[in-house]
Amino acid sequence: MNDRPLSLADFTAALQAAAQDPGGSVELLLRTLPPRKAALLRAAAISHDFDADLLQVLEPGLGQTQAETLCTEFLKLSMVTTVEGALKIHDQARQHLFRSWLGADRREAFRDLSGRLAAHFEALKQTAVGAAQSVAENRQIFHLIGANEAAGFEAFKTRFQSARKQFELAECEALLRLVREYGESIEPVRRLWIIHLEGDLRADLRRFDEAKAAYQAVLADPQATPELRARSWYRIGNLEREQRHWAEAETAYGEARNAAAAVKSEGLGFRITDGLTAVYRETGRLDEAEAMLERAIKRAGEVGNRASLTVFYNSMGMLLQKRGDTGPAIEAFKQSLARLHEEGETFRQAQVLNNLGLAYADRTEWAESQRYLEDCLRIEEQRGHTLGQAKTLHNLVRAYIALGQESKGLETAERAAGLFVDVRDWFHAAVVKRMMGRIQRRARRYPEARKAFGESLGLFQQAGDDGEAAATQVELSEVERRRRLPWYIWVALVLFGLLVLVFLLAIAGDL
Amino acid sequence: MPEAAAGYLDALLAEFVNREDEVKAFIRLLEDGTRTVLAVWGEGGVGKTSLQAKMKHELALRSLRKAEIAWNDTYNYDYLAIMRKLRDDCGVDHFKSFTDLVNYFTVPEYNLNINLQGGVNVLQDAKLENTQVRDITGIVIKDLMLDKPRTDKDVPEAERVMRLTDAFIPGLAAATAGAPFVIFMDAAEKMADKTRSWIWDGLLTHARDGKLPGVKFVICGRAEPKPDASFKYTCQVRQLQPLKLEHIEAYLEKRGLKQGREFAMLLLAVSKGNILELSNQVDAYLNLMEAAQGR
Repeated sequence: MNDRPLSLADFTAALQAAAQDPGGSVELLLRTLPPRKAALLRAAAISHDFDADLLQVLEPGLGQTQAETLCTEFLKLSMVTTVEGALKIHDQARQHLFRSWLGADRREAFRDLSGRLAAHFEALKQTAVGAAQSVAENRQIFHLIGANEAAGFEAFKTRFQSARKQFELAECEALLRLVREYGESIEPVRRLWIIHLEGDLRADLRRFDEAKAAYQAVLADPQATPELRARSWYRIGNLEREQRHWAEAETAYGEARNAAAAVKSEGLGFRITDGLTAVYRETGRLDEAEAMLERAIKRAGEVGNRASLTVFYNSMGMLLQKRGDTGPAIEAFKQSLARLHEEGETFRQAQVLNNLGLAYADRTEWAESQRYLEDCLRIEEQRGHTLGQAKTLHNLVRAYIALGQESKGLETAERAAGLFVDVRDWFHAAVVKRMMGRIQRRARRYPEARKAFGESLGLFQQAGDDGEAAATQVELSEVERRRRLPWYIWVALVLFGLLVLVFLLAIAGDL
Repeated sequence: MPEAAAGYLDALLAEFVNREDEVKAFIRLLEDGTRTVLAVWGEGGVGKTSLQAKMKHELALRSLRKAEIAWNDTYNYDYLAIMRKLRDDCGVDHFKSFTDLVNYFTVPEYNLNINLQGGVNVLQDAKLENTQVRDITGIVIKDLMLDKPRTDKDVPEAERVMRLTDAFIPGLAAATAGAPFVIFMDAAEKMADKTRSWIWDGLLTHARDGKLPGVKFVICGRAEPKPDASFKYTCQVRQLQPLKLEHIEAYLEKRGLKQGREFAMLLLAVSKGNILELSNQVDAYLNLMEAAQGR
């Protein structure tokens, strides 16, 4: 990078040299500005936009009038635009200038300027409300990373995780975009954390392939810490489990457990155990799952990990239910629910309430089932969790139908299918549509049944489940056959026709 | 600053070259009742912002109104922020129900003043004491600009989006009735996936289906938008190409430079027709000339 002022005679050579570098034209332009002005414009690029006040933060000796004059002059440059009252360096140019700060030669000055900007936005955050407060907070975090990477990165992670917990996924995306601006300058393990969090976001958006690729990128990096490795394997396990790839899920959880052995995080170990027992449960290895859960419950009790206990009781309930022991299963679910109540964990009660609803459904106690499922739905709706709502609605359909509320059941199924589609869960959307087809078929509404089976078939194909698609095709074909009249109707019609013919012949004979 | 901003826009327009096809497409968008969306995409620095400035100028010549949304790195316009911005740009009067509903979803202990049918809940609003019913029709509802869901009532997000959009669309239709109204969206590549889904499924579908007669959208971004087949007749997608030699010559002339074809060819070679690169190089050259003349 050449900061030397340029002369007109050197222009052509400098221009050709600039063409070789990304951002070369920006550097070329800066070399034609007075050094102080060029330095201030470069400093302004640390921020995403600027005005006279911000220029004074960057250069404290600058007076208000001077700062305003400089803004007017900067605006004459083609790469500076104005957006909503602030000045903004064109993205491409700003990215180049920002990166120019990340090299070792400017690092100290960058820390100092970033520190001042972080303090400036911290002060703004205190007085702002609503969206303005969010903007100030994001900008404060962004500059804090520049001033003190460790503190800034922790603030970023905290904000990201809090936004993720609230399902503010757009906010998560914005935060990731901000932190990615630091590129390679971020310490390697933190860079891996960024990739890991990107994986989390993709998983929340149900882009499983992208999420898995992110976690695999973390695992492929030799600098990944045991904690990151354990967490990435664990997340892959969850992704595989979500997609019902049981063998892959088991492998991933196994790897997660190995990696977690080197991590002092009992909570993570418990989560991995829970994932693994879910795989055992779903693949019919109920004894293995039960033994593992019993050990886990004992251990969680010993170390006083109440959060994990609630999870394990819930899982134990699911396991017992799978085995057909609905009474003990309901007891286990209620144990879990009681603990969640004690901890004031409203949102997490949803899953347990759902399980209780299903357990009562297995005992054909439909009114109880409906009660728990509706409680669950209320929580999922409060939470804004689309997939949770879809699953609960799906479960409620059975209760409504059993209680004789067929139209409510179908309406609920339609809502569930729509929500599954919204979150790209084609498989469950297909299952719900097939259920609707069966309800319609039972009620002899064949056109509606055909429509539902047809949609289900398309969704199974979209989910890539050929087995279920083939089975649904069979059901669809059966309903299609209902279009044709049964053989006995044809016989009756022929007989009737013959009778008419005989009658007509008789009349003709009489005539 | 406002004067400087106006000067900036004047300069941008004075230096505008090429893009005749895109400007024509924009004018067709204004005149054609079927088309509702013009999506322009191209690499960074290829001239999307300049093109938008030109389009805004064309609007001003026709005395037509507009609203603008530009995504940036520090503030992620989500569905609610977009609707608030459009409301503020269109004029708040037609959006009372919407604003009321926004407050209802974000302000603790807030009661709706206007019911969904547009009536006024006189008895529910303690703030309206000593007010005649006839005055209430002129009720002013101020958006308290909170952006997190209220903590005392957890309405699901899906429902919030649906109800707010439903309350917003009639307001937008009423506020933009009579003449084309253009909504410019810039830096679309920065919008979040969820926001993109809402724009296409929650906003543009209403325009496509004729619920927003006269509202036109210009969406600019780096990534190619891929609208689904249902937008076939209402959305036009255009890619901006780099400038060619003749455009660079025209640009240099507009910047007052008459250095000849060779200079233009040199600039084309180093800028590769990217208007941002080119304008930086020309700015640099002019600075040097000015310095040399000042010496």
